[in-house]
Amino acid sequence: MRVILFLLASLALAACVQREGPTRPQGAGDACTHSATHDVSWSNPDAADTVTATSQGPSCAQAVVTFVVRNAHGDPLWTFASTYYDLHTGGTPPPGVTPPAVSGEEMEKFLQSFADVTTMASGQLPDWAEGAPAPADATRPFHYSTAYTRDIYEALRASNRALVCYAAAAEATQCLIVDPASNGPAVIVAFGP
Amino acid sequence: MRLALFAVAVLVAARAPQSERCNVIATNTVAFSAPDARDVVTVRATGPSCDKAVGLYTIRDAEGNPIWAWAISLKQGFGDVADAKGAQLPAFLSRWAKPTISRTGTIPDFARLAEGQTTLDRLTYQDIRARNLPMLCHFSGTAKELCIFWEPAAGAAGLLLERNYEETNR
Repeated sequence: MRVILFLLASLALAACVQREGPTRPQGAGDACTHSATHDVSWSNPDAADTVTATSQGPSCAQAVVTFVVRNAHGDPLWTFASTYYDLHTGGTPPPGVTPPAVSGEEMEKFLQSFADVTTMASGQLPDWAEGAPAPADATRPFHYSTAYTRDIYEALRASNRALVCYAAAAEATQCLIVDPASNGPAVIVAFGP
Repeated sequence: MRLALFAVAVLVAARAPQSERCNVIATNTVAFSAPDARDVVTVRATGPSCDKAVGLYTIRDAEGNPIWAWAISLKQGFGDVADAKGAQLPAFLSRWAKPTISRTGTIPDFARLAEGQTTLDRLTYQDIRARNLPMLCHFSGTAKELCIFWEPAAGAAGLLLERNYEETNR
């Protein structure tokens, strides 16, 4: 009897823990709820950030994918959302065309890859030659764009800060830097074919 | 001792799925992709606590196909809209889930835009404006909104512009 009472008390306590904070149960629209996380050294060399990629949708072919980088305290540093179709195939399905089915396993594999961001130093970015319209790398067939002026871009490149780069579409990559001017994350460069 | 360990295991098991301790949702139905469409707006705040939540804004058509997806750190975008337990969140999300629907003919001429307000080039922007397409605008920050347009030929939505707005507009 004591055992039963003890377990019931434990379950009641557990239920209290679960109720902490407003929550809603998963619904039919969440049939494709999956996530993957990956630790990365970016905003603070002494405390790893965590990248989390999450999918939600009534089916995995119709999923929306969210990409969130949080610091060691759990504060969100960067957020991005898109459709699985745009990230995997590009664009939107043609009108009247049903996208091919995607299994939960395929989605989990995709999220693992999506969360496993590339890390590099800003000094590894291509230089922006004086008079050129944008940074360029003669060895890679990519177009680069940045919202920074050439002077600031080159100063950030020279500072050799840590970058994380992620796929913002099927054929587009964005690299993030912690901008010393704002002390906040920003896209230093985007590139793709 | 075995009993105590078992009770701890029960507690841990109950807590395991709670890594996202804040999970609040609001939904609304709008007619955006067609005059009689029943597109579903879902705004969802998730995070280890509600004051560290990320807001995900999605619009899906009646079949569940995604039309739009956008995310923001609630604190960075909107300030202190939520404390750790998120008592104020349902009311905020409920407001956020009510976008305005209008037409692209109402947007300003390209020449009147501030730098960075749109990522479209002048020709594309002016074409979308002239065709008076369906437009949906939702909050994208404090006193800021983001507007998307519906392209019927492609059956898809695209980002049009971001602009300031007066709180009293809604």
